[in-house]
This record gives sequence, structure tokens and C-alpha cells, in this order.
Amino acid sequence: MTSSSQFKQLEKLGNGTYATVYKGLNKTTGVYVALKEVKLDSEEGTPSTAIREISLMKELKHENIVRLYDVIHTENKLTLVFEYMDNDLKKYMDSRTVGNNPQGLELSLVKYFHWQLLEGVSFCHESKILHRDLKPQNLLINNKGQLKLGDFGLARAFGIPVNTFSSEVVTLWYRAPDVLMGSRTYSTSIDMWSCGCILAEMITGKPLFPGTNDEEQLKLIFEIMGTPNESTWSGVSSLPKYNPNFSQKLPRDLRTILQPHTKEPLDDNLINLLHGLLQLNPDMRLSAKQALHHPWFAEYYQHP
Amino acid sequence: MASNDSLSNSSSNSNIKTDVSTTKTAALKRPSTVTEKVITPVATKSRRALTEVSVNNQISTFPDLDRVRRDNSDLTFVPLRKRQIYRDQENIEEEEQRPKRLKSDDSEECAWRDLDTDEKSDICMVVEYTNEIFSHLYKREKDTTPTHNYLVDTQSAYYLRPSMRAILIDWLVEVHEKFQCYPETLFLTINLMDRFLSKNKVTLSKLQLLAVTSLFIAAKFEEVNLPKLSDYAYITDGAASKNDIKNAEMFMLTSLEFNIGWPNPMNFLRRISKADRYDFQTRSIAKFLLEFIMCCHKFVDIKPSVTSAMAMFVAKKITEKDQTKPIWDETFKHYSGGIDPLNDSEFQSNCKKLIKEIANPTTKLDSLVLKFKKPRYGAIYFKVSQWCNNQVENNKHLDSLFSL
Repeated sequence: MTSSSQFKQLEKLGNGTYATVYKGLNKTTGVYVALKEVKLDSEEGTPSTAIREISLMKELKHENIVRLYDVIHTENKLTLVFEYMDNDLKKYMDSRTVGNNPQGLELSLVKYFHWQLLEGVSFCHESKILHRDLKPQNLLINNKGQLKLGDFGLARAFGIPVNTFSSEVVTLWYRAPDVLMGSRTYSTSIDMWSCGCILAEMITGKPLFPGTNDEEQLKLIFEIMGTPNESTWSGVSSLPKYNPNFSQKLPRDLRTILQPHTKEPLDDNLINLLHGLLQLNPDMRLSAKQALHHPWFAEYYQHP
Repeated sequence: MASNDSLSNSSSNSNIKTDVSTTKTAALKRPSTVTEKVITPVATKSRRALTEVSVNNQISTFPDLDRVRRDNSDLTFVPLRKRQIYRDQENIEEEEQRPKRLKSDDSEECAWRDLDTDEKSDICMVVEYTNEIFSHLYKREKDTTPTHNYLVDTQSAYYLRPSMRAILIDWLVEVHEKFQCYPETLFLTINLMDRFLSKNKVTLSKLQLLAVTSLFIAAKFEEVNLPKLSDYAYITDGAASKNDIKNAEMFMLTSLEFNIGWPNPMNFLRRISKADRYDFQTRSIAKFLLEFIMCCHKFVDIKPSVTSAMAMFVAKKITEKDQTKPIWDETFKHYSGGIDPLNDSEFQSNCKKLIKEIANPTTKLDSLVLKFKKPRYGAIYFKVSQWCNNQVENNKHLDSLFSL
């Protein structure tokens, strides 16, 4: 089962959205790679996810996006050869669990990771591409502390104005409330909600909204962010799955919720950024570009 | 039908499937399930896509059958087991040119109105990223538009008679309408087909397979709800089987090196339309003109930003009652990516070609005409063709269109 004569297939790294990923060694250069194998024997031909992932990733060359080096076609599969990354954010956070207690990352590291996440997301959006599946498992990191977006299996290009898309996107815990309520006219804001969830998760080591189904997911979100109504979010009541009988909750202070789970004090800027990303109303949510200019990142600004 | 005539005089092969214009007209219902996220189950058939498709008759052999590196220029087709489709060229130098993040107050003195700010509140317009997105699209359209017109250059190795393409296009327009796909999907289909045909010689018997496969791929890229493969095979009325389409799909993807993303002209049209305050009538006419341009063989090597501007410019000419008023001010120039019709002779000559082609078509695009005679498309065809006829009759060289 070698993927190609040039690459030696090593251990399995995991299952992606529609494929299996192995570690590989480029025998000529001695460089490690990630080999993503896509089976081609499906009833519908080449999976649309593979077509999108390959063609979109070819457009995306950025230091915070995993590089696609090669695509190899063998008899019944496609092998995508990616830049190798040592770890993903999910596994990294799991590895730091003490006993049964998840630990948050140091805030300096949270900041560095989140900055890189936003840089990568901003680049996607500037290239008119939505990732649509941002979560710790899909954020790859290496021993140098670099973070890169991976797994573009659910990504797609958008036009202007944005067409309606499927609302069956993004892993539940990181799915925006507008999408959960059936909105299909989402845009770049769909990725920004996920960024907010990931930021909170890096701070505490625990997912912020770990729902088990759509209903519970919305309930968990409203319990912390408050239940939206027409005065806080104009247009919310016309979303397909809006329910006037949602139990009414008031927004809670994120600091009170997050502070007990981390040793370091959470400063006002960080809390403010979190609130900006976790706006229920997609129109109000910060964009990646705005978030990169947020005062929490002041130390990263390049002063000429 | 024209199809049989045009095919028979160029091919001695009598048993090929020629009449591609007879589409099965049975109602094909779109599946309503959301298939974007579907991970298809494993079936048992093995695929030997590249070895079975004879779309390309440039066969050559390589000493290393195990692995062949492909250059952009020569498309080699060898019966091989493994093939490298895409190699990252590490073109870092291009990346470096991308400006580093700046505070965005790079406004120079300008004569155009900034209409983007008016739309700030509408998230669908992605106003914040518009400038970056369009500079990305202007760059990208250069790589994804055929570089030469294989339908006009009779000396080209890939020359195809315009009437042949017209038959395929006409069929695609009809099928696309039946499948109820987005307009973007039709345009992408045509782009994929043209890109392939401008670099590959395709036998007549495989042209319909190529057309249906282009649609199959374009829909996978653009659509939310995908028609089934069996629907595609069905509409070819036996000309292409499911397996043919699957094999051709991989061959095409490989040939295009998976560069499917393409700056769809609809994006540019909407942008220019902004300068026109989205005037409904002008927009409807421009949409028809744009579709006509995509379907017409004379414009396959023109970049989408330019075809969109042509559509908008001619549409403005048609709707403008006061002919003394300048129709393309600095704002139009800005939102069309700098196109200046009065001082651009190539643009002028293309607009004239378009008007003449609508007045006196050199290929038959019946489905397209029929579609735009329908009330749901505003029956816009009548108005446009009448205007074009008037222009051609009363204004032989059409020069007055570009004078003030």
C-alpha cells in the first residue's frame, strides 16, 4: 500500500472529512509530508469536496494555511500531498490535560495562535473563500509554534453578493447561531463565530458550547450570550428555525464564566475581542481584518 | 437540424453519435437533499480513468511509465498507473508582491464615487474585502481564460469549427435550464470546456461527453444541490454512460490541473451594475448580453472582467434614452476595473462584433434565444435584437456608439 514510489507511507494521522491522512516521507528529499488519500470509487465520481479542496487550496498560498504540494492520481484514489505539521490544536490541548482537568494555554500562546488563525482566515476571505469548518482539529501546529489552517473539505468560493449555501456546514460546537437557525445567506461571518469559540477554548481548554444537537447548541449559546430578539438582532425572527418560545436568557459576563478556568487574569481587551467575535447577529460580528486590528494584539502591530 | 449537416461534412465516421441537440426532454427533477456534505460510500468498482478516456489523441510514450511530470505546455497522455497532477512551483516571489497589512487609508484623489460604503451594512456584499477580492479576481482571470481563440484560428492544432461549439453550447444551455442550476454554473461549464478545447484535440464523437462532463464538474464546484450522475448520463440519451462521464471527469480535472475556480463574470457584472445603481432593466439586458457573449465563439479568449464591461456598456446604450449623455463616467470606469470605452479601440471593436453577431448570428444558438424570449427572462431578446438590427442597418460602422 504505497501511495507513490516517491513517498514512503508511514503511520496514519487521522480521518479527514472525506479521506484518510497518513504521514509520509519524501524519499528523495527526506522531507516529511502529510498524505491525504481520497477514494475515487464512489457512485458520483470524484467527490465535490476533493474538487473544491484542491482547486481552492491551489489559490491559497499563505504562511498560515497548510501548503498543498502535490496531487497524485493512482488507479482508484487521489493522494494530496500536504506540508507536514507536527500536531493539531485539539491534540495539543488534550496533551496538556492534567488528570481529568483540561488546562488552558498560556495567554501569550493563545494570543500568538489566535493572531495566526486570524491571518489565515483573513487571507481566505480576501481570496473570496470561506473555510466553513474551523475547529481545533483543523488547525495544525508545529514545533516552531506556527499555526496553519487545514482541511478545506467544506470550503467554498463565494461570489458577491453571496449566493445561498447549505446550512449543513461547520462542526456543531463551532457553528454560528444564524446558521443554526437555518440562515443560508451567511458570509465571512460564519468563520468568525468559529474563531470566537476557538479563542475561548484555548483560554480554558474546554469547548465553549459543547452541544449534542442543534436545539441544545442554540440553548447553550443563548445561556451565555443571551437570547436574541428583534431589538438586539433585527431580522432574527424571520430566520427559518427561529422559535418565539426560545427560553429567554440575559447575556452573561464572559469574564465571570471563563476566569475560573484559567490561572492568568483575563484583561478587558481580550474579553472585548471575545464579545466582538461572539456576536449573535452576523452583521455585528467582527471580521478577521477588524479582529487583527483589535487592541488585544497591539503588541504585534508593526510600527514603522 | 443543423447539427447533422455540420458534423457529417467534417467526418467520414458514420456511426458516431451526432445529433447532440436532441435532448431528452423528460422532466428531470432536482434532488432536494443537501448533498454538499455527503461523503459518498465506498463502492467496489475500480477506476482506470486515465487509461480509458480517449479524449486526447496526442499519444506519446514516456520511458518512465510509473510517474510522469507534466508541464503546462505539453499535454501528454500516456497509459500510466500513477500521474502527478499538480506540483507546487513554490512561486514565492508572487506572494511577496502582496502588500503587507496596511491601515486602509490609501485613498488618492479620485473622481469616482465610492459606492461600497453605502453597502457596508449588507453582509452579502462583503464590502470589507471587496478591494482585495477584486484584485485577486483580476489577477486570477489572466490564468483561467483561454489564451487564444481556437475557434477563429483555423491554423491552430486545436481548431474547432464554430458551428460545432454552438451545438454543444446550445445543448448545455437547455440542460442547464432543466437542471435549474445557477447562472454561474453555466458560465463555469463553458469556461472549463473552452479551456480544455483550447489545449486538446477532441474527436467529434467525444464532444458531447466533454460538454456533459464540464457541466458535471462545474456543478460540483458551484451548486448546493447536485444533480445525480445518472441524470447526466440520462440527458445524453445514450451518448455517454455513467462510467464514461466518471472517467472523463478525472481526465479533465487532470488536464486542467484542478484549477476549477475561475472569476465568474457575474461577479464583475454585479460590480459594474453598482455604478448604475442596479438599474433593473439595464441589468436584465446586460445579463442576456453576457450570456450571449459566453455562448458566442468570437469571445472565448476575452477576460471576464472585459466581457462583463462589454455587456454593461451595450446594455447602457440600449436603455439610455438621452444619447447625448455620457454613459460611462469615472464611477463606471472604476467599478469596471479601469475600462474606458471611448479610448479603447479593442473594446470598441469587440462591442461592435457583439452587436453585429446579435443582428446577424453566424452560429445557431436557438436555446439561448428561446430562453430570453420567455417572460421569466423579461422577453428581453426582442428588445435587444431589434436595437442591434437598427444599429447595423442605420449605422454601418457603428462608430457613433463611441463618440460623445
